[in-house]
Amino acid sequence: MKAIHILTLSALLAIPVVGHADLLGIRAQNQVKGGEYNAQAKGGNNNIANAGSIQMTGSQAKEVTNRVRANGAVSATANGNNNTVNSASVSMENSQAGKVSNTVKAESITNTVQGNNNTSNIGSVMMQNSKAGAVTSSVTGGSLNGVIDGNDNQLNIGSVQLSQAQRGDVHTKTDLGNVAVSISGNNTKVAVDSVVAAD
Amino acid sequence: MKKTVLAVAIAFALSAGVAHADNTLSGSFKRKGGSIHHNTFNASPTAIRNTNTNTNTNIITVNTAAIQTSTATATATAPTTQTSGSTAETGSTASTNTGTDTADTTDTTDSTDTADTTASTTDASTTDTAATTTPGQTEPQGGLQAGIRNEIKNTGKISSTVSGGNNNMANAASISLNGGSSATASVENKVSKTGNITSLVKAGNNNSANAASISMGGTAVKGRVLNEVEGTGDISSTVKGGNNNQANAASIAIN
Repeated sequence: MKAIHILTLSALLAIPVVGHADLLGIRAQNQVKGGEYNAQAKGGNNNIANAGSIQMTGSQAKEVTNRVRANGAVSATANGNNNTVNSASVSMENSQAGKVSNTVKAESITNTVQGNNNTSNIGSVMMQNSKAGAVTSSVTGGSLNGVIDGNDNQLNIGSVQLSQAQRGDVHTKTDLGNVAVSISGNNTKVAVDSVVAAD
Repeated sequence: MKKTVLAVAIAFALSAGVAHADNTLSGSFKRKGGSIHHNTFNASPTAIRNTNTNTNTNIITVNTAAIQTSTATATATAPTTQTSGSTAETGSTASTNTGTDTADTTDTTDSTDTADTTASTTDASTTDTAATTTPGQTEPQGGLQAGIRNEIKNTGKISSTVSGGNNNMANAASISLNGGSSATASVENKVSKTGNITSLVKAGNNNSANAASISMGGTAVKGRVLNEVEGTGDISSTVKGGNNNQANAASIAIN
């Protein structure tokens, strides 16, 4: 008889627990799953699309840190002219920073640009007329794709682009699998795993 | 037998109490002189959505710490507990929204989502009114002396949309600073274990869409700017058409 009571009590006690989960429905619907990071600028001019990136223009900061971890994809897209597209990158223009750190882990990274005079950065550091004490960029991804369709475009992959930049140490680390670049158009500049500096 | 029945009854009562407690928001928004701490924990997975159509100069924020100091009007930051268990805060410019902002009408048409209506109601009118009465609203105008921290955990889907118009801003799980907040000590935005986060601006000019990002304009931060995004669902920030627009996803943009 005692055994029956214990079994009955156990079964009844279990019921509210199940009802509790059904009532909230929180944990079941918020399970962690790596997602897709996507930034798009469709059509138009002078647009900026940043995905998993740090972008500074005409600003100053002591320390800027961006950390992104995803099992999905990071992608940035722009259609039009004079656009800037950054994925897992640091872009500084007319800015000052003491320390800049960008750390991105993703399954894949894709940048797509259609138009003219566009700049596309993937896992790169670009400094134009800027000052920085230290810049660190660490990018880990399985596959990497850069697509450019148009004229006078620039594509940087795992690279450092410096133009009139005053800086301390710049560290870039890219741990990538396959790298694929597709270009159509004229006067396109592509830098892969490179350092390009101009005063 | 009586003891068994009594034990079962007590167990039911306790379980019901626990479920009730968990279904409410356990985090809170505190803003009184010192640092801004915004923590959202265990919010309902029900989608939160703001929609603003064909209007100008609107600012929509969802689970966001937004400081607008570029205009003479004080920042409106209204901590509102939603029935779904989420917190929606808004930073709207009262003078520009008045008379031109149809966000309320648009948002309340979304009858399918209780959370939407709640969030939208606080977006414009209610928040603007609160801006004139809430103590401490003038603090951001003189520059923030303390840090700003926005932390989002265990929430459902969050989306914010502006369709058409100019000078609009749509933020989701982000920190947005504009104007002369030059004395801000530090800015931290941490987003983890959430559903999909979407921020969208369709057409127009000078618009900004931020998802799980930090966006600052005309701001100098003395301390650290940290954006940390982990274990979320899809994050997308989109600007469709127009000129001089910006879309940020899991990024930091300082302009």
